[in-house]
Amino acid sequence: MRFFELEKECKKRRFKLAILYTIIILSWLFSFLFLKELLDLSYEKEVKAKYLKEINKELSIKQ
Amino acid sequence: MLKELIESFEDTIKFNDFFEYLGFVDAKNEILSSPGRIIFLLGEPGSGKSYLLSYLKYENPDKYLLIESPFSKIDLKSLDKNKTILVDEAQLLSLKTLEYLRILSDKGHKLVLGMHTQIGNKVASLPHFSSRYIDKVYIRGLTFSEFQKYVMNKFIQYQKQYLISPKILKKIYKYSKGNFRMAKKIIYIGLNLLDYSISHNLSYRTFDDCILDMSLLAIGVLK
Repeated sequence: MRFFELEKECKKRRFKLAILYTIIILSWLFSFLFLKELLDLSYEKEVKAKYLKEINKELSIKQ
Repeated sequence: MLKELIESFEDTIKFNDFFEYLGFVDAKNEILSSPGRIIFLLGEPGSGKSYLLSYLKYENPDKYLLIESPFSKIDLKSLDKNKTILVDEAQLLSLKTLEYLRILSDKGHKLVLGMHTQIGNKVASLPHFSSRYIDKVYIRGLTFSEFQKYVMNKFIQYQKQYLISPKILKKIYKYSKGNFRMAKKIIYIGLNLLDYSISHNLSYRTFDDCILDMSLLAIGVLK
């Protein structure tokens, strides 16, 4: 009976699949975090620029 | 332990557990009502062509002559003209034999040639057939619900319905691509493995994903 041989093959295959799925999930997660960070940064930049503009405007009025 | 259940999935044509499905009934009715002298019964492997031809012969042995293999010897000289000749695996016949069968149909015999769809269409377009009135009957394989009904009936018959789940059945159907013979083979090998596991007190107690993978590996569907 090839039972144990097949079982070994099956476990090997499942292990490989588990690694593949982990890699896929992790890469998806990291790309999501990276994108989020990137968007946050650009938003921060945008807000900062807006406030700086307003502050400059106020300062110029005061002067 | 599972001997009887395993045997019920063996790849043999048995009429004591005859199972009627829509594709089978449609094709059978089309053959019976066809006015054509030459009928091409076309279908993908495992769709039930051989089963249908054998069933026609089983149902009405006096009306039909079944040639199960193109290499079987038959005495066509003593053949009654009212008999319909059923030829299984007709794609394996040589052109000469096909021509001879065509002559027989000209003499009054009705012919039903069971073939794989692609080759059958090619043979039907050959000049000696295309000029005659031929009929093509396509047989569809089992749908998933028909397949599920067939398998569950067997498991229930031997009170082992707890061994297999609908999720596993879906996977078997997907891997066999609707090929009934292949699906039965996957179950047959899986049950043998399961039987071994149960009788040797190993960890597998039901037809789970692991048993399915092992069965697919044994057949060569998975590499």
